[in-house]
Amino acid sequence: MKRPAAEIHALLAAAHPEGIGELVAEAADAANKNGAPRDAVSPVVAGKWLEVARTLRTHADLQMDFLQCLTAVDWLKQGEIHVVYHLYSYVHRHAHVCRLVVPRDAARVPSVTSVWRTADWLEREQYDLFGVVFEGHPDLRRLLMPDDWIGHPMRKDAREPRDYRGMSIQRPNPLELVALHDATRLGVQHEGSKK
Amino acid sequence: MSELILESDSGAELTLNMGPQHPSTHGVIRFVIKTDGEIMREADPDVGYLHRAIEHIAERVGYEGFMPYTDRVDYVCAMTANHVWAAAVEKLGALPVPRRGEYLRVISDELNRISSHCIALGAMAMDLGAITPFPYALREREYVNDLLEALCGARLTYHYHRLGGVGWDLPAGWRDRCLAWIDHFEPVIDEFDRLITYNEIFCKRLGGVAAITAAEAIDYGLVGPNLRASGVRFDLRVDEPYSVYGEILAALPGFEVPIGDGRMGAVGDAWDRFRVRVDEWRGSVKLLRVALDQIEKTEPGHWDRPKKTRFKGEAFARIETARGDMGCYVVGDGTANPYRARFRTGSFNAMAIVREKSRGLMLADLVALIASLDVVAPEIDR
Repeated sequence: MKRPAAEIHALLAAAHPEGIGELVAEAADAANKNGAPRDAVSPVVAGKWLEVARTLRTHADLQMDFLQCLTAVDWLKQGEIHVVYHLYSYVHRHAHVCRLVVPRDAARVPSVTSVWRTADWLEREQYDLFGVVFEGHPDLRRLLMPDDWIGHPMRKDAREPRDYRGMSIQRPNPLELVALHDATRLGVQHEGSKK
Repeated sequence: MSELILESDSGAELTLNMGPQHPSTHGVIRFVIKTDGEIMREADPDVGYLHRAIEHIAERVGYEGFMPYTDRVDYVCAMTANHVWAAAVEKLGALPVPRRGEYLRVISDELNRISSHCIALGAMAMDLGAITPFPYALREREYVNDLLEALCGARLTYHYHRLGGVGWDLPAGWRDRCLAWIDHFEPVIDEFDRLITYNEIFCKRLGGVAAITAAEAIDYGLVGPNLRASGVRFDLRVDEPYSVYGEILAALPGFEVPIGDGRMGAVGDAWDRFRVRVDEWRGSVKLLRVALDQIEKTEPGHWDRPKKTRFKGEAFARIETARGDMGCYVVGDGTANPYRARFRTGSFNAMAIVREKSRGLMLADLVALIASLDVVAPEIDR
């Protein structure tokens, strides 16, 4: 049976009274004539996440068997990293969103590879790009960046290094080159450089 | 037999590199293969060679400016990648889309799905040594490219969908041209079946190879044709209808989502994955006919361009692409640029299962496994 987010949240909160915060629901916009309303989010305490995930997967009324998406979001000003899990159940055809909030300088969350095997690569990717450590992951290596890369490039304060192993990885902005070319040859400004 | 060799302790394990430049890895991917003769102990995919940080680019170029980059997420089926970005941002900003725009999206999506499956099936047959089907499939893809070029001016990276609609309405005479091509294409599907799908050598080559059970497919998050080949009847277009698929399917009672049935060996084997895609051609053609019929009755107006593109909040949208359920998560902080954009793609999940499935597989069957999963390298790395 398809359940609305509020009901899923209530089931989770009943099973884990200390692990779940208040449901964050954004009101559906009246102007939205085509799309569905935005998703409601259950905040989960990072330390309790593994147990909550097991409940999500195994509870007869939830059966979230598909981990659709695992995303980290770096909120630099707040000093937080949010790890967002989008779940879906092929059995009940309902979806839910869970969010973990961890400090930027100690971004550690429990790995859920034992609950959903697809989390393996998804966690490796977010570790690679955001430096979120998934505790208990069997093989937490970088996925997309080279193994000896320094830093986590999707963090908001990450700066591009000048080179990688002596190879330059920076180049001039091509739009500025075009503007320079147009200005010298044609005496006009390129549209992209007008500000 | 494979288990025996896996357990043998001859110490003669060989490590082989397949790729990154290899014709049957479908792009730049490397496999580190540990093998003892013809039977693999493990093939570990090494991805990232095509990582262009597309998600990071989104944080710099704005919501509308990012649309051409979504073409590059999956260049074999760029329309649906456009669509998922548009759908996510429209959900975030509660943007209206005119109905004609939605129909144009569905028509372009389905045409692109057909052309993407042309590449997938033709290339898969070619990877296994059957050269003939490839030009047959590519010929049809050229016709689709002609149609899409007439629609949006591009043959590969379309940039046709926009926030709030699509870029252009149908050109004059396009509908009849498209219908004429569909009339030509339907018998070609049967011809393709006779040529390769039910070819005895091909069936024996792929039957029972690298079978993925339904439980494994769900656990590893396989989506789209790969999931359905394992016997899970789930298609976002039917089960969670988005855009105008609900209206189109209402005119198609008895529309059936093809699933794998293991008739050539085991459920979820490489042959099932091939056949499910062939049957998806048939489904797409049916949807196209209805969409081309219903679009006649829509009001003019294909694009409500949003007046402002500054959004706050977060949204997640899913679209059925040629490689399955693609998810896009977008977070806005009220500025002109997205704060975070995330694509969860079918190829990424499909690649993650290769290591598990390669254990005990013949080296030559790795090619069949990769090709049957229809991975597109840029979609893995983004």
